[in-house]
Amino acid sequence: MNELKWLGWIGTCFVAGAFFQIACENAGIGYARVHERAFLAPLIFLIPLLRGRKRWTTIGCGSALLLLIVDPRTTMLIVYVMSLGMWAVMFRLNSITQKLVIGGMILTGLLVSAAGPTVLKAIDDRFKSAYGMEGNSQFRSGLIQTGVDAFLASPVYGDMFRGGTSFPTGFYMETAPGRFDQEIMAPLHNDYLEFLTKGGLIGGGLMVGGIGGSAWIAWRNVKRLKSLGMTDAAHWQGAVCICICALMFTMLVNPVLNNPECAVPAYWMVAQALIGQRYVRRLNIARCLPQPVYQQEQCV
Amino acid sequence: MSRSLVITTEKRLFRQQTLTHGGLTRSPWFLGLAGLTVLILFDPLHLISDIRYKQYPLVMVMGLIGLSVLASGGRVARPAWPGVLLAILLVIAIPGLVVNKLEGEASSLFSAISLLLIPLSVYLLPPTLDTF
Repeated sequence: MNELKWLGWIGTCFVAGAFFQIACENAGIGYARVHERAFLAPLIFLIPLLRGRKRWTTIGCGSALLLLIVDPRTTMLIVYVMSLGMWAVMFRLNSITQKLVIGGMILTGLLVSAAGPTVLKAIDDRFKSAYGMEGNSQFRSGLIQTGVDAFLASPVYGDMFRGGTSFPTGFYMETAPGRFDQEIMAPLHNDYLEFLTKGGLIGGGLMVGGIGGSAWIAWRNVKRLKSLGMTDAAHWQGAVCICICALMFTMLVNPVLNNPECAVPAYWMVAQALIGQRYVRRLNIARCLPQPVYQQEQCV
Repeated sequence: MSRSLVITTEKRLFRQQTLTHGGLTRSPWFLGLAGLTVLILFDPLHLISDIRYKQYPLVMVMGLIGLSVLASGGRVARPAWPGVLLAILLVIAIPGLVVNKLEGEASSLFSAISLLLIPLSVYLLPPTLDTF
């Protein structure tokens, strides 16, 4: 299991890379685009757990918080809070508290869903106003309305993945001084809605089922590996599970999957959950083989 | 066991050991994706999203999958149900995306769908990578 140890450094690379990109942007080279890949941040947890270096926890979490101050994004704030909550549920709480916290998280999720984008908009506006910035909820709500209209036009099959994914935003670009006549086109900033628009309920359902199912499989792997006493592998799958849940949130408010620089790490996380399941399946077979016949039924 | 079967088995074992030496996280499949992720994280110019280089990650992923297929001898493992859902999504989306490409559509879900090959390639990896 030694070979898993370096995985935590990917989380460090996320924080270091974010600071590097912000520094480059300040120096006039390129631009920083960090919050869309915030789902990689939970990998920081793997450093102390797999390498036994507690000091790195402080350094990792401290620099992640510093990043939130330097580049205040609501996505990152919610991903950090969610990751810490999930990490506590998975590895720090006993089973009764675990159930209570999971119940609380589901209830919060339902309340947020019932309130629609209002709660997220309120968080976004309040968080950004604390830094003297303006929220971009108006931009998003216009795009969401466009996406909903396109989805309702063909809800089952969508466009069968035909056609472009740039939609009119209702905002105009200045082509000459004082002349705003070119409408800005942008992706929907909500991958679920984008898949629903292009693939209908079938395409959207398959995407949610595939990615959500991977998170569920990683969570099941954690429980199975913990019960077998394979703590390192359980920590690995735990971090992967949190990353996929963070990814599912990030997809709700940002264009993630249709951008290769976000899709590659995102699908890599999904792949790790699936390969973890192959590993657990092999462990199950290995456990079943040498045992007497009367115990085999328990292993199936 | 015939001589040719022994040679074939030995060749397959040699390929598996060469391409997957050191277990999962030291295999070309895993290191390639980890390396690409680190490159992406430190790229302020966002070259991978640039329209000129947008196909490079897909080409690299195809290369990694090719190595995996070579190592596993073309055998496909039994997929888990999320893998099956993602595979169905890939299959039903391909015709629409091909039409988009032929019509020269500027933006479509091409990356989101084509890069689904990354999680699906898990089932092409040789069984030697299931152990650490």
